[in-house]
Amino acid sequence: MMSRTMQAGMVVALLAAAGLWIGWADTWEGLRAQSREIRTVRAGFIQEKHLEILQKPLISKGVFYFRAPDDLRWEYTEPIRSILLVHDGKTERYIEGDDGLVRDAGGGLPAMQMMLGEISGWLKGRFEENPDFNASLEPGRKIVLTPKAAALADIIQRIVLQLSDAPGLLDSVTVHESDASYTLFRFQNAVLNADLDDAVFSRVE
Amino acid sequence: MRRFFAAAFLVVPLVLAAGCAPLPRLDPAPPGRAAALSRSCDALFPEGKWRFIHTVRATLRGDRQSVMTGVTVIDSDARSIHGVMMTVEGLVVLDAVYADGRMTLNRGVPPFDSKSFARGMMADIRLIFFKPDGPPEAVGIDARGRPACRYDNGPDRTVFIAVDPETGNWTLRQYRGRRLARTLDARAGDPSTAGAGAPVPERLTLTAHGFPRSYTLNMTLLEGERIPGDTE
Repeated sequence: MMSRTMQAGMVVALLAAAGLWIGWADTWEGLRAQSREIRTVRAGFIQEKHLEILQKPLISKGVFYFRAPDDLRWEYTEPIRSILLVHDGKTERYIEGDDGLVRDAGGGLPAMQMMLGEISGWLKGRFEENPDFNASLEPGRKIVLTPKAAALADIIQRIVLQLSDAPGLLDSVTVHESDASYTLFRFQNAVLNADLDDAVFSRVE
Repeated sequence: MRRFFAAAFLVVPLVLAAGCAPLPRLDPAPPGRAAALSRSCDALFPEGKWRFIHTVRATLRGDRQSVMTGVTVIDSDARSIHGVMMTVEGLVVLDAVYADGRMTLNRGVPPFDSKSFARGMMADIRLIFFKPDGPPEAVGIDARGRPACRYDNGPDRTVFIAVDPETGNWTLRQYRGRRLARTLDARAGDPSTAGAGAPVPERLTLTAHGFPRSYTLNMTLLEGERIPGDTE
C-alpha cells in the first residue's frame, strides 16, 4: 500500500496542477463545465516553503504540463532538478544526481497509481466529489479543501485554491500543514490547449 | 518507499556485518605543533547558532535513491538541534528537536513517524555538526601524512578526524569499539563562509556501516548562515 507520505506528496503536486486550470465559475457545475474545455496546460510555477525555523521561504521553481485526462509532468528546475511523470497509468519520479537523472526509490509506484484514480476527479474539476476532502467554494474566488479523515488531517490541514480573474486560470495553491508550515505554489505564464507530445509525459530528458 | 527508509534508518536489532579493523595510525605531532593541530580539528565544526539547508540524497544498497530537503538549526553551545525533513514538493515528513539530551518529535509522517528514526537522524546530525566532546586525546599525523586528531567520544566510541591541508577537505571516522560505524567525508566550501572557523562544507557524504543498516547520505549545501545570538 502506498505510504501516506507519497499520497500526500501526490496530493500536493496534482492538486496544484489540477487547480491551475479551474475556471472562474461560481458553482461546482460551472467549474466542471469549464474544465471540460481544457485539453492541455503548460505553466511555470514558483514554490515557496514557509517554516517556522526558516527566516525566509525556501524557493523552488519549475514547470508542469498536463494533458487530459490524466497525463502529468511536474518538473522542478531549481534548486535541484526532479521530474514526476504520470503517463499511461504509471507514475515515476526522477531526481538529478552526479550521474544524471536517477529514478527515485521513494515512488511506491504501483500503489501510487491507485491514488491517482482517487484524485483524477480533481483534475476534472470535481473537487467536491473526492471522498477524502470536504470542498467549499467561498467568496473571493476561493476553494478550500479540508481533509475528512483525521489521519490525513494530521498531514494536511487544508488546501486553498485561489482562482484568477481570468476564467481558466488559477493564481495560487496553498497547502497548509499546520499554522506555521505551509507551501505556496504561484503559477505563471500558463498556456492552455497547446499540442503536447507523448514524449513530454514519458521521457525525462 | 516505506520499507526503503525504514530499512535505511530505523533502529532494529543489531546485525553486524562490518568487520573489525584497527584504529587508524596516528604518529605523534611534531614538536610544538600539537596545539595548532588540535585547533585545526576543532575549527571544522560550526560555532554558535547556524541554519543549514541541504539537499539530502539517501542511498541504500547501491543504486536505490531517494531525495529530500533538510533544514537544520543547530546551537553548538547548547548542543541543541531543530531538524526538519521534507519532500521536494515541500511536504514536511519529519520535524524534531533535540535539546538537553532529549528528543521531541513535533511531526512525523509515516514512515518517518517513529522516535527511533528521529533519534537516529539526530545522532547523525550531532556527528556531522558538533565537535566531539572534550579535547582530542591524541593529535598527530595519519598514515597519509595529514594532520589528524583522535577523540574519546563517549562509551566505546572513538572519533578520528583527518584534514587535507591543501584542499581543506576532511574525513571523520566514528568507531564503536573497533568497528567502523560512520564515515563522513566533507568537501570544503566557499572560503567566505569560514568566519572564525573552517568554511562550511559544500558537500557532506555520511556513510553508515551497519548500526543498524548500511546507508549513505549525500548532502549538498543550499544555504548556510550564522544566526546572530541574543547578545550580538
